[in-house]
Amino acid sequence: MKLTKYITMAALLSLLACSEPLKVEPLTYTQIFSGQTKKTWTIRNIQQVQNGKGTQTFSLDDCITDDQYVFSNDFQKTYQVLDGNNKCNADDPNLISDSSWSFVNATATLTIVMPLLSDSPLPFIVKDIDDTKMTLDIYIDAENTTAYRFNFKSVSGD
Amino acid sequence: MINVRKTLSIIFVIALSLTMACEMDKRLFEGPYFVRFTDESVTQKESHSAPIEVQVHYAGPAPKSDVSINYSISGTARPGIDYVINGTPGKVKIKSGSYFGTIEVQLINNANNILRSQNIVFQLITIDNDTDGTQVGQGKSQIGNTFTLTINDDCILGGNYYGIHDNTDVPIEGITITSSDCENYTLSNWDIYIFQFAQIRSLTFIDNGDNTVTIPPQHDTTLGSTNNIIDGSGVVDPTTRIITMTVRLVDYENSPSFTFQLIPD
Repeated sequence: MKLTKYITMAALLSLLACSEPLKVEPLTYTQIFSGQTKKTWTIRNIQQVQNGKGTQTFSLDDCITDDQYVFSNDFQKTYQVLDGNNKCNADDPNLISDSSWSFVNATATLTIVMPLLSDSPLPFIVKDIDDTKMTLDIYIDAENTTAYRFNFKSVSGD
Repeated sequence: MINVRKTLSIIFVIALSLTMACEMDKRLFEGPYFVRFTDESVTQKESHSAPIEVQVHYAGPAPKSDVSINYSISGTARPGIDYVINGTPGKVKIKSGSYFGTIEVQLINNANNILRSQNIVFQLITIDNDTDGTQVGQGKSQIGNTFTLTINDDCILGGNYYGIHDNTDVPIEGITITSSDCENYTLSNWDIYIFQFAQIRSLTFIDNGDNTVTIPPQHDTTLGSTNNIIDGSGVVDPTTRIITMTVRLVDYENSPSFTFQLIPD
């Protein structure tokens, strides 16, 4: 009986521990990603950040840096990755990914498809964002010692 | 009375619950892991003397055992004539605990004053003894499995040099000679232990085509706004490609001249 009570209490606390505080957020909050209707980002560079071992910045070809990551502020939170004018391969499709994006404020987690890493949505930590730039991290080891860092800049939006 | 045992049990459960709840929130790339070239392409002049490191990258947690990757080589550049692969051609290894491996390419400078370009195309093919399901390139289109090294021909005298004035000098590094037509060249720095307060001073010269060069009269504004004309000449050792150059300060008293050597790096 006592055990059941403790387990119930534990489950309740688990739910509350890292959930978003109950407060009213303005509807415009996530527009920093998407603008009022649509916002386009491009990758400035990618880094591998290792705790205690420094940071390695990868040089990116034009065929990567001109790809457009488009966040829409529609109901579905549409997210598209468009190949730029410079194609890495001539037969690369113009639409690299067509999916949706989501953001959890409590954990600063932006979930998007990053075609350079995976065709499936991945949860990125939003390290920094303002109207013109955005930095996203994702760990690649379970010990959280090494992460990929994607640095974006906004190229259009409203 | 406070039941200490009961209180401690509750605190333990709370602490465990908080820990577990936060542990659930991982922002982790969990694969599929893959290998790829770090870069898409690089362009170098054939006179680039240092080995070029083409980096292969393990996208995922550092592998626990060595990853041996097979790659193919194609393109218009000729092995043994335009380039050499240091190590075992066709295989690159990412050592356990590391994220990167490198293919080392040594370019061969066979400059002949005909300017065009060739390329080497590397393509990652397979991974030896892979039991982890590591992919080659990302996704169906195998993003990152190809790397192109473009080699631009250089002029005979083009390239990187170091300079000395006397044999006892510490060589001055980072000197370049460039040309777009293989006749008119630019030397990036001729102040090779000439002035007490050295600075970067460039000049242009002409390849006469007979292993001699001419430095036509020209103004060098680093010497001042007036009385700043230099000229000179030089000889090229066709075997070693060492250039011995003499620069004359025309407007100085007695027009002193200085001789130095440019040695291919």
